[in-house]
Amino acid sequence: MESGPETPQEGPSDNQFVEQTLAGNSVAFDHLITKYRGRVFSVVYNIVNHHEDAYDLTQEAFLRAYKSLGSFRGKSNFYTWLYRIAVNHAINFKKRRKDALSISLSEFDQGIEKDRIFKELIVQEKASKDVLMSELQEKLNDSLQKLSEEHRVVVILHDVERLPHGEIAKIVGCSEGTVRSRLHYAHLQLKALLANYLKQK
Amino acid sequence: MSPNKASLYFAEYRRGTLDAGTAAKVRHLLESDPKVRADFETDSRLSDLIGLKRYEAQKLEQAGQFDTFLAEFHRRQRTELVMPEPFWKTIPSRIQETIQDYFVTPTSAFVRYSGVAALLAVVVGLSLFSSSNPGTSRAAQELAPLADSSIANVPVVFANNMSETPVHHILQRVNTSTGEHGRTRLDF
Repeated sequence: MESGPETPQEGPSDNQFVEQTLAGNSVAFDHLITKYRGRVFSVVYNIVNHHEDAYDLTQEAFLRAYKSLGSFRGKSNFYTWLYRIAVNHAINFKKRRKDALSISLSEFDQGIEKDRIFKELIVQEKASKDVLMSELQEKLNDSLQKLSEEHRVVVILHDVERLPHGEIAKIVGCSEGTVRSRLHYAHLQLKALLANYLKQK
Repeated sequence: MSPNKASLYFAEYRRGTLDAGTAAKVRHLLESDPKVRADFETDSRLSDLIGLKRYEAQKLEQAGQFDTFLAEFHRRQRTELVMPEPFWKTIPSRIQETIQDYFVTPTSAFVRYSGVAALLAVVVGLSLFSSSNPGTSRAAQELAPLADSSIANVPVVFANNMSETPVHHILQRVNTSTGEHGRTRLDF
């Protein structure tokens, strides 16, 4: 079964940290930042494709979350609420900066070399790791950029962040059926764009 | 379930989050239809391929990107305390957040969209009403000089003689009587 980013652990839950923060213990919010900064950054980074902008937007998302923590009613998971703030902030940023948007992609982490699909692609493409990484990164980003904003966000949250449909629906503010449909049509487009990498040999 | 519809459920089937009934239908199609099976495998491979994107963000995380994240957050917090954002700048984001909250709260789509439709109907109704009664404000202007002079003189009385008088003393001096056309007169 899939689950969201909050994994069972010892110590206070996210909601308890929220309550402590609202009671005046600002250190409690630091725990939430430390826990979610990487994941929020990852989502934002995959939307804006620029690591410095993503870093700033992640900071701003946490500031916004801190300022509006009083409006968090605990009806959803804290991370869902936080992701929603971050995703909307990143999308608004992209809309504002549409004309002047640059891309500064990071290299892939070495962990990719142990990934099953990457190993299969090395054999299939008969390419060196570095060449494949570079080509793959360019092709993946080009393909994702060709999707509409609403389709791309769903793909990032589902395939990159591995969030379940229910959480994605709450983050983007639509029904689970809409998430299912957007993911399906986005995959259809991506299958055509990435056809070369999808051939099984 | 048709083969086309089955493809909508591939992602959830792969992750085991489908309800038992739907999962059984998808499983049946995967076992009986080679084309559906091939589509499912391509979809799974695509999902894994896009999943490679997570190694980009991981690289930045490994490279110490977040070493100063908390300190930077506290610095920004302090800056905002000293120089808070002007209220008018926050208005668009507040409106947006309110609208988004409205559409994300766990109510049915029917209730949500009915609320929006009702609000739109009120706005349209009010605008139609005001456009169909253009004389209202002109009539009010024409009637204004006909107001009782005793009421019109109230500011003069205040300015000349009673500026320091407590309000309840003023009210004690007010006489009311019924004037022309049944209107209530207030006389000081």
